[in-house]
Amino acid sequence: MERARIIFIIAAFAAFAILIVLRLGYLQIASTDEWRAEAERLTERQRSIPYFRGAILDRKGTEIAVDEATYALDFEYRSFHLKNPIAQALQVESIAGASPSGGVELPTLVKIARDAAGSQFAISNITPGQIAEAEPAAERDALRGGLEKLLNLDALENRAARARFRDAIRARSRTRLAELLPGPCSGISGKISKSAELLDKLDERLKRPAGETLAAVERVRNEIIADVEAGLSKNYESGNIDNIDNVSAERAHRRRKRESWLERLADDVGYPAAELVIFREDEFPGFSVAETTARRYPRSLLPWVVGTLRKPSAEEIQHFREADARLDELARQLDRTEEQEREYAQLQQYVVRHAYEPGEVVGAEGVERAYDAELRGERGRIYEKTSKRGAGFERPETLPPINGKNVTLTIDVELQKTAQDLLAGGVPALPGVQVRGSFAVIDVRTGDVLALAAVPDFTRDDLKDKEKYARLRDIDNDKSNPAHPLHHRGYRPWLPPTPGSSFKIVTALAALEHELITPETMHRCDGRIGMLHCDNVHNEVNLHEAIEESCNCYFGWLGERLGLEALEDAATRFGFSQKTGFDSLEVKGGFGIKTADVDMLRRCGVGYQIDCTPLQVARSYAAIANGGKLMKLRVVNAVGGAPAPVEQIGDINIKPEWLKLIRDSLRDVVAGAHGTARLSGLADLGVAGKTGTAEVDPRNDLNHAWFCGYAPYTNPKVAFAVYIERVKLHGKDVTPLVRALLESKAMAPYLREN
Amino acid sequence: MPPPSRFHAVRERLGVPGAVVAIAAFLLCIAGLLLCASVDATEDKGTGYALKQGVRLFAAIPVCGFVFFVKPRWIRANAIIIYTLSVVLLALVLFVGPVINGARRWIGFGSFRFQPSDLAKIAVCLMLAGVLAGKERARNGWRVLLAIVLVLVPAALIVKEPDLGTALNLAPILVAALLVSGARRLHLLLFAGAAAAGLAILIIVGLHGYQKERIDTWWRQNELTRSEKLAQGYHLHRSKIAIGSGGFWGYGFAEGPQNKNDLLPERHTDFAFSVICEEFGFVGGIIILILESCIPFGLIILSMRIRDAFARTAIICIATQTGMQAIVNMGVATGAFPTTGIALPLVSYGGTSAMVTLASLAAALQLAASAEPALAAEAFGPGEEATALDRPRR
Repeated sequence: MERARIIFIIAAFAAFAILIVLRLGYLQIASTDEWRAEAERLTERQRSIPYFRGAILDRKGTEIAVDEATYALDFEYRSFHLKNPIAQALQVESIAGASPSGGVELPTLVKIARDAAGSQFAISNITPGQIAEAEPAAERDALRGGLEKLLNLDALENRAARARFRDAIRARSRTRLAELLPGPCSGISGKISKSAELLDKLDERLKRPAGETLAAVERVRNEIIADVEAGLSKNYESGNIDNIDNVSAERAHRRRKRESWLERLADDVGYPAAELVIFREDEFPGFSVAETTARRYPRSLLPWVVGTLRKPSAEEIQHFREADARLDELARQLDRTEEQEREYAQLQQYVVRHAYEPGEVVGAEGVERAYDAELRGERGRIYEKTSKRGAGFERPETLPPINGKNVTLTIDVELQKTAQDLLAGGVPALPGVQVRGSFAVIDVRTGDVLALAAVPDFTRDDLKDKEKYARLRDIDNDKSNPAHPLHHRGYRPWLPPTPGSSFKIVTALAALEHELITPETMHRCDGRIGMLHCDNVHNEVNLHEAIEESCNCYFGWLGERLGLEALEDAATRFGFSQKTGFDSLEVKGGFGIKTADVDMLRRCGVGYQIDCTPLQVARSYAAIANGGKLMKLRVVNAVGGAPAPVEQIGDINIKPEWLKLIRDSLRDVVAGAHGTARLSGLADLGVAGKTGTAEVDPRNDLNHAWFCGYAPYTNPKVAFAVYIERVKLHGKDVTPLVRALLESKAMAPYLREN
Repeated sequence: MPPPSRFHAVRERLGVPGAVVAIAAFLLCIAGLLLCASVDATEDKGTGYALKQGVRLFAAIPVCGFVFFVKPRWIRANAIIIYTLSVVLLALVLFVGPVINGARRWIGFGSFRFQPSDLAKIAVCLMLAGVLAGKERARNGWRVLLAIVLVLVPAALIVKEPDLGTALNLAPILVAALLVSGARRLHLLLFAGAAAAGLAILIIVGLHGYQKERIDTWWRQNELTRSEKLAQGYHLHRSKIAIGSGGFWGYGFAEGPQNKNDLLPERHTDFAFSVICEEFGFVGGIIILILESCIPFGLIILSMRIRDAFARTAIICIATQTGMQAIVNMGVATGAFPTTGIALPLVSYGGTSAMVTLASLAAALQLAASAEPALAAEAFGPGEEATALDRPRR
C-alpha cells in the first residue's frame, strides 16, 4: 500500500512537472512571438521628430512667422539620481532629516544594503520605500549618521568624484550655462544659486568647504522629500504589518514615477547651451537635450493678423488621451478582429502623428488660429532599441515628419510698411503733428487686403514685453485717452468713425434707384439746408456736380426724401453695417439711429450717423470700381500652394449708365475744374475718388478727414480708403498721403497695366 | 572475498538514483553560478553575485561533508533539537530581525545573515519523520494530530513574518509525510477535509489585501490593464515576457534584454528561472526542470529501497520539500501559480537557501546510504524501527 502511495507522490510530481512543461511550451513556443513583441516594446524607445509648423508669408513670400529648429533642455530624475553622488547624499539626508548628531555607527539597513550590493553605491539602491519602511527616528538618525560616515571615510572614488564635480561646476560651468541660456531661461540661474545655498548648508553640516551644484537640485530634493514623507506617513505609522498592504502598489507607483520623471527645464535654448550639456555630460548628470522647434517672427508687423500661439488646453489634451487609452486597450488584445485591426492602425497613426506633445503649440488668435489645422504638420518617429544606458540605434522604419503647410497672406509687407510710415509721418497741412487714423488698400477684383495700416499701432515686440503690453493695455482702457492703441483703426476702432462725404455715393445710387432723381435733376444749393451747411454756395447742381463739388445740400435733400429704410438698404448693399470678415474681433458699424426726423435724415444722406471702418469704405469703392460686385475681403491668398477662393458676396445692382455716371463724377473730383481734390495732383496718377470731411467736434473744428477711391481709373486695380481722426483738416488735406502711397515703389506693381 | 568496503556499500546503496541526485545538485549549483555571472555581467554597479555565491557554495562543502559522514543516529537523535532551535529562531526573527522589503525574515550575526525559515523546512522534515515513522505510529490518530501541530507552529510563525509562500511550502511536506508513513485513510480524509475548510476560511477571512490582490491578479493575468501590469502584475508580467521572448533557444548568455536592461525584478533570486529561460530558451528551461526533477525523483526512488521507516519518511519529506519548492518557483515564474517569493533551490542566489538545501540533500543521501536496504520481499513490511547499522545498545 505504501508503495502505491509513493507511486502517487511520484505521479503528483510528474503531473506538476508536465504542467510546467506545458506552460513553458505555451509561453516559449506557442506565443513566443507575442512575448517578443511585448519585450521589444519595453526596450523600444520612440523618439518623436518634431515637425516644422507652416510659415506665414506675405504676398510676395517674405517670412512673417516661421518655425526654426532649436533645442530644449530636459531633466531626468532617474539618471541624475543614479549618477550623482551629491544627489544621492541629498536624498538620504532629506530622508533622514536634519539631526545635529553625527559619527554614529553605520545603521543596519545601510550596512545590509551595502553588503548586498557590495559597493558604496549602496545608497542609491535604497529606495524611498525602503527607507519609509525603516524604523522611524532612531533608524533615520542612524541613517544620517551613516551618510556622514560614508561621505567622510569614503573611498577615494566618491570623494574624488565629488571634488571633480565641484571643480568642474564651480563658477565656470554654472555661469557659462546661465550666460548661454536666453532671457526667459535665466530663471535657471536663480535655481542654481538656490540649490547652491542648500548644498552649502549641507556642506556646513558635514563640515566641508562651500560648494555649488546644478540646476533643479532643489526642486528634485523637495519632490523626494514630499514623496518620502507621503510614504512615511502612509506606510509606517505604527509599525503594524497591515499597513504594508499598500507597499507593492506604492512601490510600483514610485517606480513608474521614477522611470518617467522627465521634466522640460527650458524650451528654447540655443546651440551653445545644448553643446555644453551634450559634450560635458558628466558635469550635467540627468540633463538631456531634445530637438524641437520654436516660432520666430522675422517681421514684427501685423501681429493682429498673424495671431499668437498657446499651449493646448486640458480638454484638447484629454481628447488625445482618450484616443491613447483606446489604443492601449486595442494593443493589449492579442487577437484583434479585422475591424479592430483597422481601428488600431488608424488610432496609431492618429496618436503617434497628431497627439499634442509637451511644448507643442496651438494657434490662439488670428491666422495662426484660423488655419491651425493646415499649419500643423505631423510628427515623425524614430524607433530605437535602448539599453539601460539609453543608447539607441535607428531601425530602418523611421517615420519622417510632415511639415505644416505655409499660409500666404494677401498683405504686402512693403506696402504695409510704406502706408504705416506715411501715416506716422503726418500730413503737410499739419506739420509736426502726430495724427491718428488708418489706411486701407484692397484689390478691386479679388477683395485681397493689400495693406491695412493704422496709427497708433503695436508690434509683436510690444506684445512679448510684458511691461510694454501692460502699459499699452492701460492706455487702451483709459477712456479719457483717445489713443486706444490696441484697437486697430483699420477694422476694430474703439470709436468707429463716420464716413462723411465718402458715403455720398451710396445716397446717390439709392436715389437713382428709387427714381427720386435722374442724372439731370437739378437742385439749388444755398449753402445750407436745415442744420447742414456746405462749404460754398453751389447754386444749381446736378448729381455729377454735387459729387464733384461735394454739395451737402444736395445730398441732405436726397437723404430727407429717401428715408431711413432706403438708406439702410443701400448701405447694406454697399457693405456697410456688415463685417468684412477680416477678423473675429472687427466691429460691424452701421446706422446708429432707429427713427429719424428730417434733420437726422439729412445728416444720414451726407454720411453722418453711420459708423464704419476704412475696410468697409474701401470695399464699397471697390464695388464701384469693379462694376458692382461686392467682394469678400481676403487676408489669406494661398494655403500650401493652393490658392484660396475668391468670393463675391453681393451685388450693388446698379445700372451700367449710373455706374458710369458715378465713376465719371469720382474722376472729376480729382480731375474736374471744381473737384474738391483738384489740387491734389492725383489726377495724374489716374485716381478717381472722393474727399470726406466729417465734423465730429464743430466747436473745436475737429473732423475726420477722409479720402477714398480707386486707381487707375480706366482699369481699376486697387481701391483705398484713408482717414485721419479728429483733426483740423479737410479731406483734401489727406490727399498727399494717397499721392505718396500711389507713387511709392511698393505700389507700382499693383498699378501696372496687365 | 574481502568484505565490501564502506565506500562500496555506500555506492551500492545509493546506486544510480543517488548518483543522479548528487550530479543534478552539482549541475544545478553550476547553473546557479552561471546565472549569477549573467546577472553580474548586466549590472553596471559591480555586484559580485557569482563570487559570493561561489563562496557560499564552497562553505557549504564542509557542512555537507559533516552531515553526510555523521552517524545516522545523530540526525535522528537531534531532530528534536534542530526543530526546537528552528522554532526559537523563527520566533526570534519576529522580534529581532530587521525589516526588509516589508518583512522580517532574516537574522544577522555580524556580516552573516540567514533565514530561519530555511532551517525550519528541513527541521520539519526530520521532525515529521521522527513522529510519524513506523506503521504503528502513523496509524495513531494522536500522533497524526501531533504531527499537524508540529507543522502548524513553525508555519504560523512564518506566516507572521509574513511569508505565506514558504509557509504553504510546508503543507506538501506534511501531506507527503502522512501519506508515506502509512496513516489511516480515515485520518487522511479528515485531514484533507480540515485543510480544505481551513483554506476556505483563510481565503475568505484571513488574507491580507495585497495577498488577495495577488491571487486576483494571477487569476486575471491575461486581462490585466496596462497600469495593473505596472503595479500589482509587474513581476508576473515581466517574468512572462522574459520567458516567452526566450523562444526555443534563448538569447544567449547575458544577452537577454530583460536581464540586460534591468527590467526584471529579483532576477537573481525569485525570478532566476525567468532569466535562464530568457537566455537559454525552452531548451534551457527544460534542462533546469529536468535537473530539479531529478532530485525528488531520485530521492524517492532511493527511498523505495529502504527499510527503515524514519529514513524513508525523512527522505521523502526532503524530496517533497525540494521538489515542491522548485515546482512552485517555476510555476510562479511562468504564471501557473500566483506570485510568491520562493527561491529556486540551488540556482537562486541566496544567503542560506543553497547551503541548507545542500545540507538537506546530504542528510537525505546519508540516511539512504546508511539505512539497510530492504530486500524486495521485505520492503514495506510492518514498521521497522531499528536499522542494521544501529549499534546494539550497551
